[in-house]
Amino acid sequence: MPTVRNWQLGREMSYPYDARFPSRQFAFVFNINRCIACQSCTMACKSTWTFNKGQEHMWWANVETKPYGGYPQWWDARILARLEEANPAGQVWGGAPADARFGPYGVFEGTTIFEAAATTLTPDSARVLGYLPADDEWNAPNIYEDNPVGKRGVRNQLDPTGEQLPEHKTWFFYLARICNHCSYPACLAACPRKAIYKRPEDGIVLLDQAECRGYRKCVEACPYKKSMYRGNTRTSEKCIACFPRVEGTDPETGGEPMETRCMAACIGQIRMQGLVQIAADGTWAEDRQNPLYYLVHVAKVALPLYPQFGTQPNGYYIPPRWVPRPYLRQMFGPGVDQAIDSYVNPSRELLAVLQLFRRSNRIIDRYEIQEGPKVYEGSLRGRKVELFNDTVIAFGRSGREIFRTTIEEPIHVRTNAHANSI
Amino acid sequence: MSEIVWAPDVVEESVLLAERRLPPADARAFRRQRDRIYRELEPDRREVRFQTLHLEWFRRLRLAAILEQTIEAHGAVLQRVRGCAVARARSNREAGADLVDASQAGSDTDRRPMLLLQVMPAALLDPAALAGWLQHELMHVSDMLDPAFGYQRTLPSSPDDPVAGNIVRDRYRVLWDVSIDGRLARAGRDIGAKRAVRAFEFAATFRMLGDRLPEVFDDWFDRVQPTHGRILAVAGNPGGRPVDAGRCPVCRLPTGAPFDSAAGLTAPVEALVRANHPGWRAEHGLCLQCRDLYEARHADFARARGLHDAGRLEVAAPHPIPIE
Amino acid sequence: MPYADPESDDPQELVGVELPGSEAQTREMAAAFAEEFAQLGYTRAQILALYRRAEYAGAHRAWRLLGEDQIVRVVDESLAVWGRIRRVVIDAPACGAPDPPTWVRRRS
Repeated sequence: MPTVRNWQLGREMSYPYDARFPSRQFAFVFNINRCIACQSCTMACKSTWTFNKGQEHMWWANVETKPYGGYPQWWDARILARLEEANPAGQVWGGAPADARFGPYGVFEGTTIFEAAATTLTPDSARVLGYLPADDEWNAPNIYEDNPVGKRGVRNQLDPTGEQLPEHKTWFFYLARICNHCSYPACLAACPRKAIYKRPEDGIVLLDQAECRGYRKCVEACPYKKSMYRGNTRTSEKCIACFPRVEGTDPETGGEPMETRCMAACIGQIRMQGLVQIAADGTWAEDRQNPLYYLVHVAKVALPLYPQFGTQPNGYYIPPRWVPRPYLRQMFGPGVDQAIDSYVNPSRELLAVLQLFRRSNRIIDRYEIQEGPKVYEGSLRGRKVELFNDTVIAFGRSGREIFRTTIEEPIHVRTNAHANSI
Repeated sequence: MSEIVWAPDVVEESVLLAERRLPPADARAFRRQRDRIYRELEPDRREVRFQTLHLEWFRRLRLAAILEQTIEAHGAVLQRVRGCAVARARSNREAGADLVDASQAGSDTDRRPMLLLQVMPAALLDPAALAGWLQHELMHVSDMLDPAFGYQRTLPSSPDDPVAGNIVRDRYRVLWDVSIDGRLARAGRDIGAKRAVRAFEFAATFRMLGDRLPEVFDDWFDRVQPTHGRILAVAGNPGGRPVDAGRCPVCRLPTGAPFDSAAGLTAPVEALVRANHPGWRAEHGLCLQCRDLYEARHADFARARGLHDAGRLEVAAPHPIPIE
Repeated sequence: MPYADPESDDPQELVGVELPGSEAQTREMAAAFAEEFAQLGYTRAQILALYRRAEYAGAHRAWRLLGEDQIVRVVDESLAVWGRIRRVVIDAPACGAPDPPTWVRRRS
């Protein structure tokens, strides 16, 4: 099996095909600290792409409540368990986080789904370690994730206070997910028909419906379970990254690449999507003023989802700051501590870049900051906070300005002692 | 009984799951045939070809064998049903056997019901578990068809008290399951660890039996030849105490439990009940819920009076009943 | 919306597993939501609604555990910093816009 370089793992790994890199890669950052699981993204996707007969169980975009939720149920726990079985107590990270684009989180010393397949599966199916979810795991996404069981005999009504248990007595966070359009897609690796391909211009992973013969190997292989089988057409389908929008063919933008439906619909403003430049060795080419590059490689607040699977996913998450670190380290790798520290104590530039989220449905290619005066200095829960009236300007692919954000003016709040005084 | 009718999606999904266990040469042969059908673009013809192919492999892989053998072994059941259909269950909860009445099935002359089995396709690949599950489910059906059992689809319910209906149904289900696994065990069938499972369910459902719980469970598992009426009688009144089917004279609600005579009620509590229900006398009795309610109310009043007397409550106690 | 008690062997149902959690984590969760939404320009009433409504399980659980008073304090602390400023977004004129181009100003 060929070897490829996985920058997220900081090492080479085996993969069924030689590495081929797109010139630009579809990527996104989700700020989980803000997500309230309103499911606007979910419905935006559903109403655009998966509203047809046979697609009832499909949610290309979904939001699940962690730690209990998952769509399909227990997808991450199940694949993590299979990896643990394949490599008991060996799924660990070593080395030191490097200030480099290759291996920024250290070196993953465990086994990826591709490597585990070689040691645990029979040759015929040996490309990727995975599993095929059963019907009941696809059904009823979000069931029992948040809401306690209702009262007996009281129909169509939520229990207003949730007194009837079971109730989750723990922290929550909401994990919004779409296809990660991985650099080393497991679905592509597993397809016996070579029906899945990665577009050279933007790295979007597509499944050719004319070539698919419904082997469901992609469904089994994708560790994120974002390839789904459709019974009535007998083909598998997956997120297409709203590629007509990303290509800029929507008349609204006059040729400017546009963000996907799920991104544009996000009312919590947790999402930013972009196209990042890829270097010849598969790492992200330095692009200092690209907001995604800044968040992932400079501020290092955004981390890949389960990088240990080995697919080099292109979805990045700003981890929720309140969740126990061991859980987050398993989910996002060893970069979690630094990411949360940077997010909780944001630099002036990070504060400015965070203002770019969801201000436009255009893809931001580059940003600039025009520094302004300090408008506030104080503390919040023991942390020093400084606010500046910086203007952040977002530019599109064509180089034209898309928008700028600035601060209106400081609002001076009178203390209670002087309320209503003239 | 005519042939078993298999839903196409059960057939297809079980074949696709079974394909994963086939020797590579067989799997390739199946795929060669299946892949060719994708070239057929006319939707109806394409669908027919898929269904035909899957059925062919379904037979070839003998995926129907256990289910058909088990059903055929239940001759008594077969004689009483018009046919059997197998449909796809999407979860364990959906899986089970039931009878569809002739009228529902649009029958003409044959008034016998249809046997409907809902199975998860993956279950067909686990013969041992499937056989065990089927013998249990078919015993349910056998009871339903047996005139001596006297099965009635609807359990008695009270419009005033839907909760009681749910409770009776849950107890009915547990008792029936216990008796079925008990009869299977007595008949020498291998039921695995089911006795312990049923004992656990029974204990959770019939806690009110207290010390008698193991004895009653053993009786149902080892001896009882159940009928619908007998199961219902125990489900409705597990303690076996005489039931007054009337309504509580205080709250007017039907009660599954016997009325408590008012013996043991303290005078102030009795007075409190009478204050709300002037016609009521202690000898009329009251249900347990009312007794609890009035005792609790009295305790509240007593507490309020105590606080008032201690100067910690400005408003006077709201009830004139003397405190003991 | 389920109506019956959970059945432990039904894969459709919640398997309730106690996970480590602490008051400190709950406070942090509450503070994070307050700060994020204060930064987004939400009003005090809007932010408090997030906590009071049972639909937002994380925030609501914090509200139930910590109580209204503590949540109000957390929200007010966050607004005292982030509520001082209002960000505005100024959209660049559309491509091919008429002359003079229109710069669209809107609250964030």
